[in-house]
Amino acid sequence: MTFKRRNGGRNKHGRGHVKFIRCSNCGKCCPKDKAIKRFLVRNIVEQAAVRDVQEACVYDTYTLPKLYAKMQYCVSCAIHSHVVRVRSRTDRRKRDPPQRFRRRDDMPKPGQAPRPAGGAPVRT
Amino acid sequence: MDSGGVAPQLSEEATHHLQQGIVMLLSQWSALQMAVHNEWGGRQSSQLADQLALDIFSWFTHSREPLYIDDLENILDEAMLSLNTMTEDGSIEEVAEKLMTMHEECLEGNYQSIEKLREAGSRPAVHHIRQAVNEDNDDDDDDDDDNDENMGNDNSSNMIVDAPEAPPPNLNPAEMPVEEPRASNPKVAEADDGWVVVASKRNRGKRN
Repeated sequence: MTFKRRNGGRNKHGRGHVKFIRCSNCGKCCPKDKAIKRFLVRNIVEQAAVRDVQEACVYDTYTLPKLYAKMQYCVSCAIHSHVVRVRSRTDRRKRDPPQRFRRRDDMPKPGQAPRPAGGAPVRT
Repeated sequence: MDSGGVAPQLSEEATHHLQQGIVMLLSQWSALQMAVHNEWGGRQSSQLADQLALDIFSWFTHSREPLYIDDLENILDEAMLSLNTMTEDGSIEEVAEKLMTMHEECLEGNYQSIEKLREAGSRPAVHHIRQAVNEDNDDDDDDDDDNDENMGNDNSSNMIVDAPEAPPPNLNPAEMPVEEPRASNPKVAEADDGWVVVASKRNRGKRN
């Protein structure tokens, strides 16, 4: 039978078992290394209500605080909420973020340390 | 130094200022700094952040077609996604707008915004992590203090007002039930202004 992914869809190397976590959306149990983890940075007040809150605010300049949350999705919820997308067989092998065109002939920062030879940062 | 064909040319001094301005602006972008500091993108988070600065700079200087802010927002968005961060607070639009205005000002030779950034950067930045730690400690204290103060507020005004005078006999029955639990507590310390300090329950549990 063919293997769909080299790492088997998860990030478990050198271990037999990892504990599971619960999906923050549906509550499904999912191994911690397999879950899709995202950090959410949101304003506590939605964009539409910002003006109303600022008008009702007692203080003149009050920066509205932000909400920082770590979301752990199971694969089903991640695909359903468009956090990740299904990719073609060749696209599945890409692990880097899309590389922007970059001129290599003139280095923008003189004296910068040379980039790693592997090019792509290794994801732990 | 070759700068974009179609876009107006940047002088060397302007490119230098633009580069510095990009780095300073990104260092003040709280979402990016939190992602790098907490390594939300893994061990290479700081390298990814540096790479983002270079990407932005090369996009400004080496792109041939006219610059659109949507492309810049895409670059920022993809960089944050590589750091496993979904920024939905509108900070990407804000940062992209500031970068575009900085680039336009550099084209004109106006470096005021970059100077403002430099002054703002010299001021101490807000430390999100320390605030969280302080808030946790403060929350623990506040919960206990609120309970104590709520108990004290109802009767302390009576106690403070009546303490210099002789306590009227009709108020004694009201004060007795309030004072008894406090007097029986061995850890009660009488404060000078009539407040009674009660040790928090958590310490009591740990010491036992």
